[in-house]
Amino acid sequence: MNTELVVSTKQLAKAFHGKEVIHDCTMSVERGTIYGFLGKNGAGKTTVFKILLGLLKPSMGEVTVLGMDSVKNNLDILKRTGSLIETPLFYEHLSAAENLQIHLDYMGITNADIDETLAMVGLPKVGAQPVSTFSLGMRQRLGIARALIHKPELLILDEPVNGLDPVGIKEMRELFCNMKQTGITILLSSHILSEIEQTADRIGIIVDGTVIQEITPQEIKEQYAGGIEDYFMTVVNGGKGNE
Amino acid sequence: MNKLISLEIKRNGLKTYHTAVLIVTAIMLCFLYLLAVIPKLDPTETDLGLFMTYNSLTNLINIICMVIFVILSSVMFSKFVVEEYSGKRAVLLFSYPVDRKRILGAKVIMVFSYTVISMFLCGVVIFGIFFITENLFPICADTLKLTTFFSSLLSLLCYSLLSGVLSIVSLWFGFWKKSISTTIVAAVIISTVVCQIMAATITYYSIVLGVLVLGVIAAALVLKDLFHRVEQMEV
Repeated sequence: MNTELVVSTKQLAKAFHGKEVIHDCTMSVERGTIYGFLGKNGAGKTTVFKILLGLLKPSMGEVTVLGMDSVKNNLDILKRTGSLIETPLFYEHLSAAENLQIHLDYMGITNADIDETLAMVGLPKVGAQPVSTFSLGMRQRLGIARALIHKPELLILDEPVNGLDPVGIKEMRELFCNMKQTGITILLSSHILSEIEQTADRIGIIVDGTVIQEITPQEIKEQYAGGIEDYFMTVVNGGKGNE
Repeated sequence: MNKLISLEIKRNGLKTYHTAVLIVTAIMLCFLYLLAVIPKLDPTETDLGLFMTYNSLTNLINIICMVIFVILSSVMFSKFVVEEYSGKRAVLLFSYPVDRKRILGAKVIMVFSYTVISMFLCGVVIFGIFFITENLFPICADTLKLTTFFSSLLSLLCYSLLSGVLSIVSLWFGFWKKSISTTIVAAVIISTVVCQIMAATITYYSIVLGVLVLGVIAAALVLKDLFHRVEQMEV
């Protein structure tokens, strides 16, 4: 079957002050799927996400997002992408709705429904509330709302369920699955292994800046009796599969 | 560009700066009357020539206002530029599909225009009130002419532009160090140095114009470097 790749990196490398933090990183994400990005702290997940969004320039290798070069066509990519990188920041003195409106103004979107989006992420009736009064979980939800309000083709979410309670995590999982049904491609990272296992169609494992394996949850179930945790520990600690 | 400027205002708000400008206007108006009344308090003192003509009085106020507005402007640049391009907030700023140079350009235009316009209006109010009362109840020994008022406005315009230009130069130091305090300290040092030059040559308009031209050249170089830095910035 001929599948369209929304994200594709080939031998990607990134160095900071001469130290390579990403090297020989090759990965691909198919359209309309959820790709889970797993790795230990400092493995390079956020750096890869930032490169995809053009926030960082690759030192080497090819990066294609939505069929375009991530450096040359950065603005076109940003128009069609929603992102949540690290802890979401807002204008504290403004309300949630005003924060989203500012985002829409920058994106050049005039017809988005702010109330509907807030309800979608579990923040109904708080649109007029200043963000300074929001809890960590509410901020995270608002960050997700900001990422998806302009109806992007690709969502890049770095630890999107950070700070959410179990109910919130479940709601977000359902939201991501619903979004996938509408054709949106989602690339997300998480430390919660079971979350990635339940949400992702394909999982990429990054160790010391290199994607060492791309696998489906189904394949993990078939190959590893202990499930994703067993698989992750084997791959990350051993640097190879449990074969 | 207008849309980007209005978004900057919407995001950050200008209320605090409006209040600051109003306070500065009130204080400088009182200060002008104080300077004008000094020769009357001690008529035997011969070194008070600086406070005895409208020309030198208005220039003195312009110079002091310039220092104040350069510092005010550096505070605004700290909030609108240095803070936004430092740390995690830059991630948000660069995630918008808008050319980075245009966003920075909107910020610089906004702060520069605000500084120049607010200082000019502040001066117009101060000189307007002062000259009206001088016309009715003169304090200063000098003769008040219409040309005095217009030359004061011309000088005010030059100093207003100078304050905007100097604040851009101070922004460069703050951006380079990614530090709010550096921006403000640089503004204090630069404006104090220029203030000393201006105070020493208070009635020579050619010096004001010369410093203004040098300031514009420095600001142009600073902006060229800032745009390049923002374009190359990785967050």
